[in-house]
Amino acid sequence: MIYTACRYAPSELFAGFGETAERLDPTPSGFECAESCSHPNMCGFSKAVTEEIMTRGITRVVLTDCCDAMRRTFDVLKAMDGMAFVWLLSLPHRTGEPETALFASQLKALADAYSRFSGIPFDEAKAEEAFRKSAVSPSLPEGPFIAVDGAHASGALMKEIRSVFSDTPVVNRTCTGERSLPYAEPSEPGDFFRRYARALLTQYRPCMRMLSAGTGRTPEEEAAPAGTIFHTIKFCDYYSFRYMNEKDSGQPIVKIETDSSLQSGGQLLTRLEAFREEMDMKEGKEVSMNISPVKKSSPRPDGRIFTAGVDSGSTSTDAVIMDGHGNILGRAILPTGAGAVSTGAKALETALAEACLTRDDLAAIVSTGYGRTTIGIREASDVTEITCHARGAIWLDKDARTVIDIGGQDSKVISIDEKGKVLNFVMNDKCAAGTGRFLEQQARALGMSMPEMSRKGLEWKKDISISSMCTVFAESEVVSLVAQNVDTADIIHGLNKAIAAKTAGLAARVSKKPGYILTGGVARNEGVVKCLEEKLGAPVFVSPDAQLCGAIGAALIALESAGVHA
Amino acid sequence: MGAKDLLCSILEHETKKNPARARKLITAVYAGFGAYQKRFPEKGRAGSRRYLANEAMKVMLNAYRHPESTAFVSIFTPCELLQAFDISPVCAEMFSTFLNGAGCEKPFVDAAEAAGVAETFCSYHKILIGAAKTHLLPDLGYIINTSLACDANNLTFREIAGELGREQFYIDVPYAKDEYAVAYVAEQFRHLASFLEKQTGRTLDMARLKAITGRSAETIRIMQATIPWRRTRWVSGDLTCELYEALMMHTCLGTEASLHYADMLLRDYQAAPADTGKRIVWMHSNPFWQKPVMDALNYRPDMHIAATDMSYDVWQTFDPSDPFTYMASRLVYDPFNGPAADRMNFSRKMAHAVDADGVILFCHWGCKETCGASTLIKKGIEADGIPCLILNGDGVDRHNASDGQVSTRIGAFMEMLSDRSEEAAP
Repeated sequence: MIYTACRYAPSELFAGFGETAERLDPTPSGFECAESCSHPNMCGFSKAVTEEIMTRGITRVVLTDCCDAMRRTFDVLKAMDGMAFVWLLSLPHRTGEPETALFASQLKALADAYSRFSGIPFDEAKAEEAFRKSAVSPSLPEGPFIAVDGAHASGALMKEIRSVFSDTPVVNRTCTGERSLPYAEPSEPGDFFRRYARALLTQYRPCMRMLSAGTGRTPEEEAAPAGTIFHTIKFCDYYSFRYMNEKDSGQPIVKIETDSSLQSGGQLLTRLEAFREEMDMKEGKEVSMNISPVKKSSPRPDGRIFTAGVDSGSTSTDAVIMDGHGNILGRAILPTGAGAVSTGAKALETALAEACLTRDDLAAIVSTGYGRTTIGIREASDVTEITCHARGAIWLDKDARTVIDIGGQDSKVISIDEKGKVLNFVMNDKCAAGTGRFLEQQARALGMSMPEMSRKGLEWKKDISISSMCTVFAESEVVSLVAQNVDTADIIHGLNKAIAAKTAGLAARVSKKPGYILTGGVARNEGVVKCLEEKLGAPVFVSPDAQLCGAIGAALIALESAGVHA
Repeated sequence: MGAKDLLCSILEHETKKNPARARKLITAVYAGFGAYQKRFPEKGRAGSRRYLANEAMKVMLNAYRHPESTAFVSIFTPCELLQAFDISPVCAEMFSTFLNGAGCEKPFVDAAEAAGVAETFCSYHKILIGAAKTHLLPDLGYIINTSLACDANNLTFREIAGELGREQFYIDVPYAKDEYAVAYVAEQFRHLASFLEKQTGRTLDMARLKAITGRSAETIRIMQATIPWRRTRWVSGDLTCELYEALMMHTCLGTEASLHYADMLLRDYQAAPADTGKRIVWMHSNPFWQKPVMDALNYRPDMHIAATDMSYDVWQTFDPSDPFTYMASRLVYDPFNGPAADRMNFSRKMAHAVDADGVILFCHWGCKETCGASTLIKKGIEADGIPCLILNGDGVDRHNASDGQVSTRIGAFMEMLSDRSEEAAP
């Protein structure tokens, strides 16, 4: 068995040696081996390939020089003991005649090398047959479909996506996705390598490294999907560029980023589910969120309807009780602490107590936030915080069009319409920069509480900049500024500016529509709000109930499910 | 707020309001600094390196003042052909480096990230894309790049060509190093000549091109002649000059200025005092702006850079009589092309040639070519008994690096080299 990692790899060639080629599909749990012999700042897929080869003891590998990272993966494998056959196929960036000739000579060199290595002569007829069989037209599902585009999506990731979009076909259009070579019949003896090289270079959907990738689309690609899930991999250069040019196409699109492992499943699931909700809403499927009414013995005798929304975030768990007119009757904000399960139930009970109601009075409960599925409230249906924040924001401010939520664990920007429906959204990627956690960490370094930090930050006199956005680097910068006797208020202002710049950058990726509303715990920090207004060049509305936005949205969605539109 | 912070803030504001005015502002700042540098040269710099700094500033200013006759190139692009058409090249890395020098890179990093460029993308290229998106980048007449040495070239130049509405000329350099690859690249240079003839309406003067490639080969010959001197003599310089030299050896190779610099440098070495310090070979770009690195290596007789692979890579001998094959050979056989083993072996030879005490391999943020090869290179160099430090950092984005971490690493490395000398002493 020969292992490859790219759809430009000449899998059919190995049929000429009676061998089969298998495309690697790694989903490692970590990168211990790969990082020890290379560098942490490498593309996640290249690290995953190295990790897979090392842990499975694979010894025959043919890679293509599709990107800088794969070239270095080859170097690492080549230097490794125990590898029997490692080859890097030089791949041109163009697809013209000179490049085809050059690539054909590379394929021939590979065949010769493998023949020398294995002692098996190359049987061109067998390779030709495999080449002929590989010529299938790109498949397109009938009716609406979801496309997964961008960088390599592993089988495990595709499975996760398919589980979220269980009622819609999902097509893998990533760089390692569907492969279809244009077959050409032999026109003269000995032209196999030239024809095969041509087919490999001009295959359906060129990879972003090919110069032709930026020029025009095939008719198949013109068949627009109902929605695109755009996958980028940490430290992959190519696909954020494609995303940059496709995100403004007007088609529904969501970006997800992984490092090729399936870590951070919570963030991933939130994005996928929020995207499904966004698409459902665009299609007018108002209640496709499967919110089931709370099972109870009998409805309230007075016919009044009450619902609850519970937002289980990484820092706090918030609950809201709402009546049928959309009025808030009870609220609770509790620190999440170590037990999201018990805190969820506790927040709900606290809010119910304030509203003088019991669980039996509730028609529906919607949970949201990272702990939405593990919240421990049996009757609750879960909806992502993206959708809930959108609904909550329009309730807090009818003019809101861009919701900026800076939570403890992540930050997000949601573009919404006048009804609080999600038009588009972005979230920060697996990094504390620009989140509440970033500020918490710096507050600790300064030895003060968050409310103290918020107040102190307004007293700044000297405009200084904190240059690092990495939480760890910023902390050492803060410590060093303290050592230089820089006024604490000035340092906090520098931090506020840094977080505002990061957030404004995120906002620019999704929406530049005024009508900004800031939600989440960081909304209480006046210094951040002021800096954000400066960066955005527009006022930012902060409601006294800003922190409850997700829970309010959840309660409103619960009301909608009960047939009430507040 | 310091002067650089203030300039950055004004430039950001102006770029949003009126990009043309922002370009004028940064041009005036560069011109002012250039005049100051000429009048009050950096005291620690040897004569050749003062000349180098002035010439580099001229190249940058020319790009802003005469963008229509300037080509935007990747650093490894041989530019002799452009000179034959009186087109001045400016390389991408230089543009970003100068913005950093003025303390103004941040708004452009932010603009690129806001447009969707990955945070993990090379900072040199992120700044460029940010500058193009905000129209600080002048409307340069030509966009020409090679696939060497990294993927970022493939992406940035395509994007910038799109932003400026210019046709991109792309030189594909095969990974494999053989005569077919040289012939393939040489053919692309012939196409570049036709492309430039069409664009400029002029005919290539082959005799002139041969004179330029002849000068280029002569410059390389003189730079090679400095190698033995580097083992025993110290010519005072700094990290910034190493970057200028990389520019002179790539983008400006073939010009009178480049030849003149090589001449001056050789004379500086011949007249220089004996070197009693530690000689460092620096690999890849450098964080010339970062204080702990500056403190450790700038103008120091006891610890200094003896050679950098970003200019040393060019000092190989090829026949300049066929200009197209000459330029193609330089690209194909450049140690930055091909397997990491080539770069490792080249660095080993370089370290031995200048009798280096240590090697610092700078892993610039987002550079997969260097980061991915770093462990192998370190292993190879250390197998020769030369200590090698892998220094992670950012060459051009000061917001993406930690002085504290860099200071500890570079300080410890220097201490380690000193300890070795003490041990070796009789």
